[in-house]
Amino acid sequence: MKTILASKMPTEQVKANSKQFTTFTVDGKVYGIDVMRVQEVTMPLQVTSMRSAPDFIKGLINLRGQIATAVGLRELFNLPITGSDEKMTVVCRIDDILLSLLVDKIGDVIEVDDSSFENTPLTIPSNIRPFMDGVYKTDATILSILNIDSIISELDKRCAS
Amino acid sequence: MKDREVQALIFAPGFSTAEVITNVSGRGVGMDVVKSNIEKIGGVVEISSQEGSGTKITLKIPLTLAIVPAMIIRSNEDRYAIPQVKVVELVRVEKSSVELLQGQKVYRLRGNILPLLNIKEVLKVSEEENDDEESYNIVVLTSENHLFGLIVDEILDTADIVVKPLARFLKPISIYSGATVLGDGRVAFILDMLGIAQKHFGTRGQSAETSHFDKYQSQADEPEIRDYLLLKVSNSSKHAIPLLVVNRMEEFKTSSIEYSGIQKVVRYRGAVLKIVNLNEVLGYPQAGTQNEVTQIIVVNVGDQTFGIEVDQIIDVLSTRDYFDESVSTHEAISGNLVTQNEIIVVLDAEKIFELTQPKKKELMSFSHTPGRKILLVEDTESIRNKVSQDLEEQGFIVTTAFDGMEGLRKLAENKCDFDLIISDIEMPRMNGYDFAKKVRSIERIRDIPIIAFTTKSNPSELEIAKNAGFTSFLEKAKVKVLPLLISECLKGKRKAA
Repeated sequence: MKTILASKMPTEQVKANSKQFTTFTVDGKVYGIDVMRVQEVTMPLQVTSMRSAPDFIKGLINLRGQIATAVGLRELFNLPITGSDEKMTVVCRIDDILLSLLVDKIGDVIEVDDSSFENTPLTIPSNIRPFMDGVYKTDATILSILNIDSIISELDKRCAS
Repeated sequence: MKDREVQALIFAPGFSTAEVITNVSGRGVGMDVVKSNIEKIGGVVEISSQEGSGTKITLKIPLTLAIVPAMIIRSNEDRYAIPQVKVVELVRVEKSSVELLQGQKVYRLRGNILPLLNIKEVLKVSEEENDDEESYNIVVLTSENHLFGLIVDEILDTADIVVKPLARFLKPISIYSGATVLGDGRVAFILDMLGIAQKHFGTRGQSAETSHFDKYQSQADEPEIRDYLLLKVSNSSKHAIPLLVVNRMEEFKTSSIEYSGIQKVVRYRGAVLKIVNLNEVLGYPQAGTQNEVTQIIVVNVGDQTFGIEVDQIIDVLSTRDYFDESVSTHEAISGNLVTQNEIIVVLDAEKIFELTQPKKKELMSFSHTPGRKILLVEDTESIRNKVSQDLEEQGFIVTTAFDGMEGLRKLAENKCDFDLIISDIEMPRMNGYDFAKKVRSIERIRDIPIIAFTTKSNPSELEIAKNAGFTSFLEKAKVKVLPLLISECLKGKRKAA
């Protein structure tokens, strides 16, 4: 009885040994980012493209007066570009940087148990591996966890070169 | 609780009136975040509500410091902001009046060549010539003292923009300095003129991948352009001095050159300019015939200014030619410039200056003539002590006086037994001029050389000092030359005696 009640009460604290992740899809695969690192999820906003920038920098968007840098995850992951797939953006704040990640589809916020965590399997290709923290096994799927700090440091590296 | 206080509860963290709490709302966070964020930037948020008629929320937000006037321009569909401080003028020119120089567009703006850069090259977007337009819109810009023209599609407007910084990882894309939100809510980039100039004119070439930019890139890899002033001396090879150290080029009448001690000087802009003859420094023969005018290059070395006398100033040379340091026959020659037709000798201005400064050896030469007596008249105690100490170290017997009156008394006391007098000009009771005149009027001591020691050094001062009877003139700032001057004056006296 108690457990049923708990599931209906989202205000209840997240259990100490579990984590919540914002999930989204890029190129048919499901990824998650720690929900505490996500500021908001928005519909696509008008992008001012940044000429002479690398292709994964889609440009700047005006997020209620604040300027966010739009980054295409497909381009960053070297995935095939299909054009109109990117429907939503996940906005994260890292220090002073507002990052708007363009993704195909937004999923639920899901809660996973720490015990279901595993390190990134060895076969994960190198185009995505640097961005991944590990995976969580859920009943429906295996969730790839992206580390937003790794994305920033990779952006630093790629823009500088 | 007053109404106001009750209404302010809405800002309290965790305060909620919601009956149902969901994952995203009703947690009493929203207005708390609004308040704390506004206060963080120094603003105020107030709320006033009348039951049944509505709520007024007042936000007071300070003006951002980073507001700059800017020019908004258009390239294709994009709009960009250029800070007004970089904009010199706007010109609209016929396409036909733009010329090509080495494949690069240039325009003669009031007779001077203005290099042109198309904004589409800067932004690396395809550059299609729009043939409907008969003219170019050019924003003339300045960056680090260089002028260049940016060809844009359209000049839209001026606006005061709020500068928003770019994310850290975008900094390497050096053509933008920030972004701003325009009136219609769209974001526009602010162009970084310094970055663009550096990228395109190769002062600090950045890597540019596309072949389109290779031509700029190859320029950046070449040696830097250096500017030289070409000179003629009595030697047959051409000589040059880096333009960087050259302050001005002047012509003086040969008759206007004077001597301070043995030093050739000329009165120049209210000061005394030391003149160094280049032939003399380099050990070349002097030109036989004296011209009526002599050409002087005024050179800055550190905070020192001096003049280099040359036979003729030929031209300015801008070159990327190879500079070879291996062959030098003289200390003052730093190397050779290897041009297509000839070898040009490059001079080291700093060395020339050093070589013509009095040497340590000369300073020490006083020890050979110990016991010379000097009267030092100077009202500033610190200078008096310093100079007398220095002179005593060199073997002089120094008597000091703090003004002209005391100076005369000291002369009388010592039965005028002095070899040299050094006197300040500005002093209480009796100044240096009157003191010198007095000394010159007394039979027994009129031959003692007097050196004027002063802060001022304009030509009129010099004239008055000479008329008053001073033998020589020395700026306090150049106290280092004092020993040389003294030895010169004493030599003169010996000859006379």
